[in-house]
Amino acid sequence: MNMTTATEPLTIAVPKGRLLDQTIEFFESCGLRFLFEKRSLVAHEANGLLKLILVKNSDLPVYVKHGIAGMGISGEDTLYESGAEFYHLHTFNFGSTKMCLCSREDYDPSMDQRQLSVATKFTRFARDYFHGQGIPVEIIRLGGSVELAPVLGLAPYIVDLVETGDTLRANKLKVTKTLAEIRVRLICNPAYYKLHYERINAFIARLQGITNPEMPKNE
Amino acid sequence: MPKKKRSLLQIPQGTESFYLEDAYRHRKLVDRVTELFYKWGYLPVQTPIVDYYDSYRALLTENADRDVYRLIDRDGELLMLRSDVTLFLAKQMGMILKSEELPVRVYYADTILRHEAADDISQNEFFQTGIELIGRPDLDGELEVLGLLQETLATLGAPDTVTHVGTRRLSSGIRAQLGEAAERQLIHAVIMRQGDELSEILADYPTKQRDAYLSLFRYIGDAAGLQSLRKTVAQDLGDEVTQALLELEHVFAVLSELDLADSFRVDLSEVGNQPYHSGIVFQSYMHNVAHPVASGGRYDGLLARFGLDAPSVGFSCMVRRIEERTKLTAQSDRSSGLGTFAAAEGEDFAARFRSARKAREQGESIIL
Repeated sequence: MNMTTATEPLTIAVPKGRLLDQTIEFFESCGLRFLFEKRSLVAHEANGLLKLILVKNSDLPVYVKHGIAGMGISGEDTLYESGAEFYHLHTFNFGSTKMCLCSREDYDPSMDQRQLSVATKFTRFARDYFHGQGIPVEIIRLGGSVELAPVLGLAPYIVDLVETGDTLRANKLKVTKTLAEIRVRLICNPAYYKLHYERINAFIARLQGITNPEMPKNE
Repeated sequence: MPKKKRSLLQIPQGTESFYLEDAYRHRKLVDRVTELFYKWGYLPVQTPIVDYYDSYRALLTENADRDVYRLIDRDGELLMLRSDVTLFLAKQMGMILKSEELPVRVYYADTILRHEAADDISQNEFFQTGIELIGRPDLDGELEVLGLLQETLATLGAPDTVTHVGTRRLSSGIRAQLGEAAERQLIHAVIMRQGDELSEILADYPTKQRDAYLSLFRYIGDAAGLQSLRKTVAQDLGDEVTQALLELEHVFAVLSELDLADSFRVDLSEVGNQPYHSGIVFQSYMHNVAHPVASGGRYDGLLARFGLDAPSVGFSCMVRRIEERTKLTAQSDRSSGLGTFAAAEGEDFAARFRSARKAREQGESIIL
């Protein structure tokens, strides 16, 4: 465990990739500039208020749950799959996407079997969604390239994130139903929040543009 | 991997074994804490490691129920392994104590077993030590328990731990109005600080009352802020809420008088995560530990379920969580001399034995 003490910077895990670029851009718009060292997976805010830890997207909830990072920025899809509970402190206005049920463009729903068969990376979400609707479902877990499943006949449906729809169209797939809006959240380990709530509240106020730009360094 | 080899290389999730210096340090810590409990007038109790599941079923939260290990005895009875000492203790005390014996002070220090997912090892819920003060209905009970908790944490090497104190009584009016299921939902939303969810649960309340509850449930701060909230907000929520806040104010006034207030915070999002909580509740947080290291509170109706209608207040410490942290900052065992023993000198075994006996009489640890 490596949670900060009261005088150290607040720690935030951020997934590497597209969301990192959007996060950095957003932080800069709030006056928070980060110094990256070459190849380093850790970056410090210029005034020493925050420390970013760059992690793999699917691992992010694990880091926050174990307190390696006190906070994290993650999509609701990843959070849901982790099954862990966190404080949700802020919803960002970037990175939103949709969780959709998709099939081949030429698929005829009257061909559906008694039990729905769905290939997906998001097994927990898919199971809970269809069970919540009272629909029996067979889930086939895939690690990636989920669009191939209907094309190659592994399953008639997939549940996957859809942003622009380009990948679906390229594979002659269509959205059958939008299942959920997926937003990007700032999460926090509950124990970490309790120990640092004043600084964290000041940080959130800054993200929300509330006039309170000075983040106290100490509780 | 062959099954036999795997069973040799690992132990089931939710259990642990520790050895040598680790085990020695653990025992010393537990000895120090139990000595402290005794100095406060608490006597030991030993609960069974296994008991009938039906006795506790209604008292388990959904998560706790999911995580208990169950087994079936030779008569076909469903049993559960001890997953929370408080529950097993309540049954023992409820069955054997008589009301004329009260108040009774007891302590325990025992292993517990709960299932933990493979990616959830940070919980470190393997060993609980704690106390129960049975038969003390007034706030002196809470104050005694909080005072002892603070000394316990200091003894365990966690003096900078902060304990957040709230009360379950804030939700009792909501239970009366919306029912137990809604109260359970509300408690989860309060604990997880889910403002939107709370608003939804309280949607049928007049705006003024709903906003008042929302202000209360998100409050963390000092006693002055609590008093201000009571005067400005709580008056719309009825006598029960006002009384609950006055109780907290009294507790913090006494803690302040005792110069203990720095170790405690008012936190009205602490409403207790057990179905049996009934009054003031608390959790302790330690820097660099990802989960609370202690928790407790008042549970006046719990023993009545087992035959003795007596109020009860207590706490439980997750000792291994604290140990994991404190050993990182302590001197390493080897450099501090722990686990390295001097060897007795002498030409033959008898000489070494005599020399070692003399050294031990002087208080040294020595090997032959």
